[in-house]
Amino acid sequence: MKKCQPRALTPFLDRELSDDLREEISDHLRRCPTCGTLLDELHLASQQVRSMGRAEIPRTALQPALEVLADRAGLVRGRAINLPGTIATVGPPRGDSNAHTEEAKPTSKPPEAPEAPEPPGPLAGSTVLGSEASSSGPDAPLSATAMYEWSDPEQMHSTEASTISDREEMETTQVEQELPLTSDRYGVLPEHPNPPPAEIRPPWMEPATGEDDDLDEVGRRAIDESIGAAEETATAHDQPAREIEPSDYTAETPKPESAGREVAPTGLEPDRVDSQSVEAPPPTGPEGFWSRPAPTPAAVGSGLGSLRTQLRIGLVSALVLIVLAAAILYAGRTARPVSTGSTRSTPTHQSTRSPATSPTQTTAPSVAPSAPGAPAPAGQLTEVVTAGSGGSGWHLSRVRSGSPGGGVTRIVFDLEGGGPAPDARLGRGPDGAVYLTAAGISISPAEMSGFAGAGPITGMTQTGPSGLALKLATSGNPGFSMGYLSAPTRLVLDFK
Amino acid sequence: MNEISLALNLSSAEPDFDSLFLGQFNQVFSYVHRLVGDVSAAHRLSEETFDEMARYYRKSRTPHQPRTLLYLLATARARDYLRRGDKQPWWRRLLRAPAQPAVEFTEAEVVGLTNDTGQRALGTLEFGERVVLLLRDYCGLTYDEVARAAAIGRTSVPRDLDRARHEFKQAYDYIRF
Repeated sequence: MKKCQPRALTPFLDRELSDDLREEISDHLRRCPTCGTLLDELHLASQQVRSMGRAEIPRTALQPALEVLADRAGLVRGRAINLPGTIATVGPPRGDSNAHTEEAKPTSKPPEAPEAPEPPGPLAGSTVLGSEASSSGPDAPLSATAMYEWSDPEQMHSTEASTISDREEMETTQVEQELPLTSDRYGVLPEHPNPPPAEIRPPWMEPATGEDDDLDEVGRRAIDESIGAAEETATAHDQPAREIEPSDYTAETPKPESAGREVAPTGLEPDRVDSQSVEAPPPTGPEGFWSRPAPTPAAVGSGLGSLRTQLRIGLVSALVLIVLAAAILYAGRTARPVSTGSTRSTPTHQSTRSPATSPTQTTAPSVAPSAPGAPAPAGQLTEVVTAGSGGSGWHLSRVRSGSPGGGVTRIVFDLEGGGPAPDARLGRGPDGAVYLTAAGISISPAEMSGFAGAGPITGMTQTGPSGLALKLATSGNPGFSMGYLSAPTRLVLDFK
Repeated sequence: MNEISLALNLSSAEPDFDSLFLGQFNQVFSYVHRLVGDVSAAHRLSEETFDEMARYYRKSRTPHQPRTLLYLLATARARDYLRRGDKQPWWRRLLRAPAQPAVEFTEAEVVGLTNDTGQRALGTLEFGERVVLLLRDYCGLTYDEVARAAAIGRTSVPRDLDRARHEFKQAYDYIRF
């Protein structure tokens, strides 16, 4: 395999590939460091999900619940099962030898349930074997049509949830066409309750055989028959429309569909329906479509309905306009160039200012740059961003760095303390370095000594005698943002 | 493998309800909690799942692949809960008496389900991706079982799983830092 196939890495990791393909990908991985990195990330994600905590309810608490559930369902119970070991242990997937090693060995054992006496029965011993084999054993038999052979399909379809799942399964299977749709797989479809009528073929469609004279005769006869049939049909259609009575609306005798359309149950008087259907001239041109018939009670009602609809539309439009106006006003009010001081849950929501595009908030420095290590005067900082709610008494416990992705370098200050978040101010000094000041955060020099730089930040020095006053030396001219994250509280600086 | 063990294995290929409940309740409970993010809701949904599962064992019958069926029912119930919440039709509220919880547990026994970074990263995924990721990596199902339990095609399992793992990793790193 010469080309990278990142989609094949997941089944490769899960050992769900054939041996040939697996060997090809192994060869490719030896030569391609990019795919190796991708595989490491997938493996890490898988490990993180596996290591997530689980409930560990002991068997002693589950046994009485089992009795309750079995009684509710009306199960006939004659076997008591006592499996040794931790209940929450997850067996490894089939063929996955390198995974699930943490879960395979019981990490935290709940108290063992007292060994219940096994009742006599031919299946008492085999149940234990079977349960283990089916839950985690690699040789557990898998039936190809097992999903469609559950013992009680009526109950499966009785619940709404199961119906949804069945439908999705069927749709997915039909789309992907992995398995042919056969009657033995889905069962025999029931016959349609109202089968369509047999093919109706008029006599003139019958294939005629013979000479030309015979054909002429046949055609003439067919034309006569069809004209006669049309006249009969017209007579039949006109008859119920003229002689219809109000009691006919509830009559059980079926009427021709076309006649039913002419006397549609609109609540009109029969004679008015008659006059409307008979006397109204058919539209012969565009003006016929534009001409309005005389208003009837039903038309008046529908007109009222349309008026109501128009009123509703007008009301909704007015509401939408009001909301839009309010949004525009609100946006105009909040778009002032003032940095907010509230605590943000996501640091990226803070305005990131790139040096090329962001406006300078303060005037350019008129004095010479301060000496290295000296705190930059607040008035000399540009591109200032702030965060916090005026809190104090916080202590910086740790500084770490990393990348959340997207080329962003993140420096995290883990904080200890309580109350509102302290005010912090971040800006670019005249010497190009980035200065962070937070008076409400105390720091010990030892915390800063371990920082070796990350991304565009090449160093970090404390510039003030008290509080957090840091100078972050940068390579290049990175944009930055700042914000607080909670649980645990931490101040986050992003550079890009 | 001799004939006796083969016979034993064949006769007990599927676990009965007792062993299924005792062996899988914690895992199903944890799985549902990872899907819905609430312990009490996960508790109720898990018991309802086993209630429904028990009906397949009536008349001394055993469903095929009960573990897969169990996760299918649990997934469907979690999906319904996330769609509709605790709302129930009036006739169901009228006709059905509220079921009392059968399984009792202490807070210490579910402390592993606390809202950790992984849970928050899972919350950023879509429901289908969460299901596939959890069924494979958290519950340890094979691809075939995942396809059946998640009611998706077999060929879409690796694709969905790959996407879910990438997105989970990104969200996890973002939340952690």
